[in-house]
Amino acid sequence: MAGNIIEIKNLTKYYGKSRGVIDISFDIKEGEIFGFIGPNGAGKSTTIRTLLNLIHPTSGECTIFGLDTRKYPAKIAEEVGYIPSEIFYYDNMRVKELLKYSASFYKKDSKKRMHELVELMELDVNKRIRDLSLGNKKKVGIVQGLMHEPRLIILDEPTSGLDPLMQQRFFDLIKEENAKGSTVLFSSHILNEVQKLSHRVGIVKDGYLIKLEDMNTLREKTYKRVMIESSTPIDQSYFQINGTKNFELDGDKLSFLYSGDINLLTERISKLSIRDLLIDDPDLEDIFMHYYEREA
Amino acid sequence: MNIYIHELKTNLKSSISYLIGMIVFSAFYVSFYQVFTDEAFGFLKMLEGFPPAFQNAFGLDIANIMSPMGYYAFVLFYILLIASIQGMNLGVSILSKEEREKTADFLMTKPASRSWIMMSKLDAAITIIILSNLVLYLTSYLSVTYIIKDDFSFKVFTLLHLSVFIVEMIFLSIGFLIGVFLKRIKSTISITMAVVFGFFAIGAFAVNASDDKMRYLTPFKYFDTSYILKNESFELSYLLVGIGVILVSLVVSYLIYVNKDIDSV
Repeated sequence: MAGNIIEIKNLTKYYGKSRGVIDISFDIKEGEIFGFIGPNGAGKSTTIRTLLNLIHPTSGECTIFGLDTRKYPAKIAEEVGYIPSEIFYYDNMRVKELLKYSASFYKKDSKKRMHELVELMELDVNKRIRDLSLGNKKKVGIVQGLMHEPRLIILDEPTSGLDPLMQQRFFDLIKEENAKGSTVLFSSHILNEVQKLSHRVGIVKDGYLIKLEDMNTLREKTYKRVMIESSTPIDQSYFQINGTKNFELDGDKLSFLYSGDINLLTERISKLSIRDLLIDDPDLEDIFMHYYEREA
Repeated sequence: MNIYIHELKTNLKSSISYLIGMIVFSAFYVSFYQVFTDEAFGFLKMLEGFPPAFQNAFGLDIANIMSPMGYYAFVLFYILLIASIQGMNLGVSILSKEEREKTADFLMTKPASRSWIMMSKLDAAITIIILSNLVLYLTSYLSVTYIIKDDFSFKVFTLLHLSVFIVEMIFLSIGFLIGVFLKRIKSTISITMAVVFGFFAIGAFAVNASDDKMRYLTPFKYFDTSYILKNESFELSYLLVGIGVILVSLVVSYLIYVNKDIDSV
């Protein structure tokens, strides 16, 4: 059984009187891709910045690789790659100088991997940082965050600024790193991103961790999206059974969310004259709204 | 070592600018020495016409100004001002620029402890100051030797330059403290000018006040040139206070820096 790479115990952070996060506890296992989701201001970045020792907890503790993040930040950082949401580097430096400077902090020789990543990201290393677009700065961030082949990758809203093609390439890269053994903590408010990557998610709201669930279980335990197209008009009340919600009727099309005994549902559907039927897993957006509504 | 070298490279241009400024200023005013002494009577008459407060504020030591080192101390008074601005600006900016330019997230998530980051930056700043002062010392020695020509005390010359170095170190350490204490510094030069000229103004007030203790309030008055010229030494109590200010400022800066939160960009 894989050990924990990250352990967060009762983490609370206040900025003066403003709430950061309150009593957050969770673990991330080795080899896991953990999605940390919630809207902006929910506490995702506060948690990540505490793990990285950029800010200090009001109470509680965090460990990475079994080491206290407050006591051993430099030791921990040797095997952590961090890609922040907004990338800022030394404007006067050329990309290659920045990457060389970044590499100089690590004991590993990361030249080979750096060249691979530069090629993959199609990065012009001779440009100055100040001349780079937002997307290209992000690419530099990805290369500098991954070139030392870290055991733990921490991504805070990592895809902002990347075009769809690069986003896909980036996701593939993260999956590749994960397959090689890296653990990933991935924060995002773009639920689709987390859905594509994560094995497990934590949902955070107003500073509290409101749900911690395996991605598959989360899908299973939550609603199915049902869309029925009938050749005869459908009466919405026909499906008013336990576990249905969010009805939308559009002519002969009825869609709703369902969580309950699937046999009950199919029994009712079978009595209708169906033209088209779709029963699908909800996307994370639906799950997310479900939890948000329930916890509100 | 990497942060140290990075800081040396980053600060190279501005350090050279300050150094050239100080060398040119020193050589330019030293070159006036012969003219000044040739017209000594007229100059003295004119200088004596200034109010004592004005004389003190602008480093005029009428009793000594006709001697080579008395004149040089007057020139060095302005070099001291430039050096103080350099030290202060370096101190304020070298740590705070990472937050101001939003590169702190990059640097502080690297395998380098905050104490290591601070020590590397401090080492780089001290190196810059030592090298600047050393080059200034050597070039000034040449200009004083070949332009002033009159005999002068090498010991006094060295002590005068040493006092510039120590005062610059004091401003560097105060700058460090301000740099870590203030959040989101937008302009280091405006803070630098406000603090340096604030101390300068206190200095002008201090020499006019009868109470000698006022001198403890400003680094500009820790090294009295008349005392150095006369005794060929520093006043121990002020020297110790100066060293104390450096140590306390750096220790407090360290404690703040290792415990401070780095705000999101």
